[in-house]
Amino acid sequence: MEDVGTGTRDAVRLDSLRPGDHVGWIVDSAEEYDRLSRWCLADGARCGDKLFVLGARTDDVCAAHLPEHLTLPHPRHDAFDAFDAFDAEAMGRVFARETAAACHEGYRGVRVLADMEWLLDHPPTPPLETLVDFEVRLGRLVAEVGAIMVCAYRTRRFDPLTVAQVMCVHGLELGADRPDRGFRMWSSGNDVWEVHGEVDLSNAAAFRAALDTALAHSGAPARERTGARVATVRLRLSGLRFIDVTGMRTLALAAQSHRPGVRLVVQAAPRKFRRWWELLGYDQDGSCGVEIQP
Amino acid sequence: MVAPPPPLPEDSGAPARGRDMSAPPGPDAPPRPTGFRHEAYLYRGEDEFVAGVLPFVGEALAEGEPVLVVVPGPRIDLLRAALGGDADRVCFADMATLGRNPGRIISAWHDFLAESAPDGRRARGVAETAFPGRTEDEFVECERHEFLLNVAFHEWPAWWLLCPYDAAALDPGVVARTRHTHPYLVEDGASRPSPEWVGLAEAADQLLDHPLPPVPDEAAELTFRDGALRGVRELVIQYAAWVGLSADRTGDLVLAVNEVAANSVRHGGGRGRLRVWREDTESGAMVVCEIGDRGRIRDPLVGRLRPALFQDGGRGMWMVNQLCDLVQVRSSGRGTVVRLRMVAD
Repeated sequence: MEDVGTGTRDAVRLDSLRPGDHVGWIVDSAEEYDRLSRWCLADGARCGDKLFVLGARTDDVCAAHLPEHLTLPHPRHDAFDAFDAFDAEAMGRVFARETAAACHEGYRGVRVLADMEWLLDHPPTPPLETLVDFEVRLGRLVAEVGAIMVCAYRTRRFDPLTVAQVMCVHGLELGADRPDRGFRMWSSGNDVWEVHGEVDLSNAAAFRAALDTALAHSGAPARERTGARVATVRLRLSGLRFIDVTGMRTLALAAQSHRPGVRLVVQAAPRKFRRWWELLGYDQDGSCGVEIQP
Repeated sequence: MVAPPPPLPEDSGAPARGRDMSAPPGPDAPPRPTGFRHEAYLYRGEDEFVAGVLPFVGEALAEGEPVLVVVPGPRIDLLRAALGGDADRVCFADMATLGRNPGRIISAWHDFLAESAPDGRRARGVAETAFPGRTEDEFVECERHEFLLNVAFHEWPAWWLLCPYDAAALDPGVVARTRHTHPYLVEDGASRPSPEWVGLAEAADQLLDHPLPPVPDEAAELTFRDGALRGVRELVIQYAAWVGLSADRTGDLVLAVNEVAANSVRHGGGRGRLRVWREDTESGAMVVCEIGDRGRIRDPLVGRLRPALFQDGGRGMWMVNQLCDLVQVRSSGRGTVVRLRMVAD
């Protein structure tokens, strides 16, 4: 299988996708979409995934390029068109139902290839925070259900800054010869969020939006589940290569703004992060409420 | 830190033994900074050091004033021995560590005063910033620091700082310029106004426009703009590896350069230029990074005062001063240059 891009875990290969993966894919041309969507679906079929394709004009693309011996069971399943844009929870419910059905039918699970242009069919153009919030929640639901979702963003429709920042909240990224987009943040389940990569001035806004979503959407369910007045959300920074002063302030502000209902615990942070955090004074009692654990 | 002393009665004045510390300035003296008395003490040899500093510290203890002494390690040992049991009532810090970069000393004094004299009660300090063994660049920054102390604390209510200078060991030019930077001088056992003190306004105007030594021809160069700070960081990492910086010091330098470059993006016209080179000196190899842009810094105290916890802006340059061995900021109508040095450990 050809190597088709980069990511923070490893160089991402389509044949290395695993259930629970939420993949961002930057698409520069129709030819690139054709080529990689063919690989993606063929690989899904080989792995025993039940395949779905979402988005405008994808019927033609997929029908034209799927190998003959493969079938596309539900290229435009009715259920996937039954919810509004940005309703991640509704999409998650469909994922859960379809995954259960697919497993019952003998498939490994569900693989969804989504041409995210369909979001733009619902004007006005969504602000960055809305897109990041949607993708963060979607990623968490995909991880919980154990589906595979590949989100294709076409550069002809989305501006480069938006694409770059939305890529940050996908655990993996596809796209030939693409430089790493900065940080990656995704849910690894049980109110634990992983942050890898680099946070700086260029992506601090996306980092804040991702944190807000994680803290808000992990916090409330955790309180309901446990009955506790304060929910604990864990942020694992073991893969954080760099964070600047703006990024650390962003983290402190996000934690402070979600108090007192959510307690943010930072785990596995690099030593330099802990040193800089203390130097900035964010470790002081009552400053922002972030607990730093080894 | 020392335990907070009991409140003092109004105007409990502390005349020094053997010298007229409380005498008002003569008719031709420069205006005395309100509440902040900043003195240079020129001494020769260890005996004169102890003879001048010990009474100053002793008076602070007798009056119940908090006192912080920041001098090189061997001088701390001298004072501890001379103070005997009273040494435990004094807070000491090694200037070679705390003040390695003079750009972070004002913040440390501010922390001391805020903690030990929060209500404006009297406090004292001893600071030997320009100690023998510093580099030429460091002496330049020590001089700027002494100017800036007057700017930073001129409205502090009751704060007395004595700055010893080893006149026997320092370059005569360094010693002579103490008369420009300190409103008061202690010489021959007496404290008097310095007739050569340049004053607050002139000092502030001159502080940010002072030339730096030229950049060597072999320096690597990289222009950057928004979204390209990773390239800046990668170039610094390459040089840090070449010079042999530890992982911690590499990380610190990378963060520092990133913060200055981010300021160029935000405030310096959206872009800037990084130049990096290696310098080998008697004390070891170092990485030097210079970031330039078209912006202009108006505040001579930039990066020298700890910003509030969630303040928007101002934290980056403060961190730069905390992390680097030396920080040199120059700014004028021609633009801004920030030069950072980090020595291999």
